[in-house]
Amino acid sequence: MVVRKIIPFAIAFFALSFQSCDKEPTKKPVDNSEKLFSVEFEPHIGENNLPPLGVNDFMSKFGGESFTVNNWAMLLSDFSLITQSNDTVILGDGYQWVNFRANRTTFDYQDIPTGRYKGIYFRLGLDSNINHGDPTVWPSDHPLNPNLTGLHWGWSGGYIFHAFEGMYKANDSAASSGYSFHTATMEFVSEYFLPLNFEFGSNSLKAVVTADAQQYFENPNGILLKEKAVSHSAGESEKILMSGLLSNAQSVFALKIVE
Amino acid sequence: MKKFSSIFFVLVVIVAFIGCGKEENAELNNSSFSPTLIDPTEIFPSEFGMPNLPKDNPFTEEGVYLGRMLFYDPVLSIDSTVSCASCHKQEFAFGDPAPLSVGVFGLKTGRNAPALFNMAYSQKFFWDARVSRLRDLVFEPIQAHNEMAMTLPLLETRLNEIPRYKRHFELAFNRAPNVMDMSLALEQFLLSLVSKDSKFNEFFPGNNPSLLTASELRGAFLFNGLVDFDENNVTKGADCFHCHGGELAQQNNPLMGGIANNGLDPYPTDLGFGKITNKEQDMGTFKAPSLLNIAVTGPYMHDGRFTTLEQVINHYSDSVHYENPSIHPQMSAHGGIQLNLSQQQKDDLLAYLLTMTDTAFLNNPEYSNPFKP
Repeated sequence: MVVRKIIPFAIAFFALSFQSCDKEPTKKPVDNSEKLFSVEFEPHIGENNLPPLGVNDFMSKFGGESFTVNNWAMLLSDFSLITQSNDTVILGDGYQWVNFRANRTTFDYQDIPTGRYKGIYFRLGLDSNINHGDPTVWPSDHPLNPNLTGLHWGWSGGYIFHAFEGMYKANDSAASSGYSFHTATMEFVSEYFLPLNFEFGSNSLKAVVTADAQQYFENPNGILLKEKAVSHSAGESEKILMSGLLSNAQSVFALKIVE
Repeated sequence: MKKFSSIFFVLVVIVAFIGCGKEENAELNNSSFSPTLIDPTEIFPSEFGMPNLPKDNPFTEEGVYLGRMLFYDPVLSIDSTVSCASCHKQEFAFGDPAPLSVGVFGLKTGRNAPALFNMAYSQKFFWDARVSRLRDLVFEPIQAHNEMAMTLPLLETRLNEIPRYKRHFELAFNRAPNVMDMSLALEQFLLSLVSKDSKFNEFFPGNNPSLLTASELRGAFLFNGLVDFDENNVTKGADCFHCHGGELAQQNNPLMGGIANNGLDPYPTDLGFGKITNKEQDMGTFKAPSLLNIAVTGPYMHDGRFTTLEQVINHYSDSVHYENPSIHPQMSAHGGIQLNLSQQQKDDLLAYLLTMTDTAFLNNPEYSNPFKP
């Protein structure tokens, strides 16, 4: 009897306790201006997804060596879509900072014109005036703010365009050592056009750019880390290595899908 | 039974209204509340670039001053004997000359107290980089049993019993003393600690080498990896700058050397950041500190194992444990061989490090104990 009388109050108690006192969130009306074009950079090792950076999984590479990827970051400029008529549509202000370890890999853009496109273009690196300009002028959340990215030399001036670091083993029984490639200086600004025909119509689209870490070491130049594992883009031997790496980088990136 | 039902109904109504009530720390009815905003450009030098500041906690003169009061006040500890400043002393760049600091009841901390300055440019805090916001950081030492051992309810009660805090919380936040605003005030004060006036900062980025002695300049080249002294062209100087570079002498980005294992031991003993992430690669990694004011922030490393800078240099030159499985790639990328710096090179490096002391910061009255005349 007592239980039966309590039940309605108990229901009311819990209903009132659980209900939110805030107003219902207002649903935004559908607005075409919110149509997004997104670009996601997806790290790969060959055909497979790269294991999460920060995990010491050694992966096979050219020459019987194996390697991990601990840090992989890039500064892009002139990041843009290329139309079928070869016009350029700059994405945002054209600068972007990709960091696979920090999962900073997906970028959304509004106000992209509808139409047919034939690919994505970007440069790894910056114009000389930006590269050697004052790095303190950029807002705190801008890809070119060194306090955000850590991609600036400081001492000798100029940005690090591309950082690719990890550990390697010369063979299965060898101890691991580090490798570090820091691309910098105007000599090593490189550009990439990733072709794929697609149409941007009335709906949002996402493009996936794959980045295959394995390609850095083997296509077309086989790179043995046991011979040299460091390049900061300075000095003759480092420059030769960086040139080989960047030549291979043309095989690293591909625009796989737009959906 | 009817009485029971009525009581239950009243309870329901009370619960419902409590849920919809105003926040506990309601604003005081002070129509003249107008704290004085501080333009961040007055705090942060243009040559450092603008840091990424919390947008919901703007600097105010009242907020920074309240944070300074709280920083120096032992009332924040359970027995009113330990303040933040007990372990973070201004003359040591807000570090502690003891390897492990002493908290309440004579208990010792687990790691060396880090120096505190230029934190606005950091993205992670504590040696193990476990916290991303200073407002969150401050609650840890206050509540740690071996530091201040305080409980937050008791602290809030205590602050409300002290007239000066009633007044200064009202001036800064238009509210009665409460621990959330306390954390914001401390965040403002900690972010305002800027060290920028060392000889190194005047020299950087090398525009005026004449400011340095010959030894300091040689040290600068070694530090920044601009010396090829290995016959195989493998090693480039001492290469300190990857983790301690730029005008702040630190790597702001944790992923670019801001958190690293520097080969102190064959295997990690203190797991550091690895205990936070549980990733093999992070085991034994710690936040790489700024080297500004390094002459006064000893003892060095997370456990204070080195008492002198000479010992630190000797470690990096001669004793790095490259076999440590989580050593930073940048450390072992030079072939995993000891640098074996000459005594002259070690002396030059030391001379360069000594240019990083900012005596203006160490003596800045704006950062000093406000309770002292």
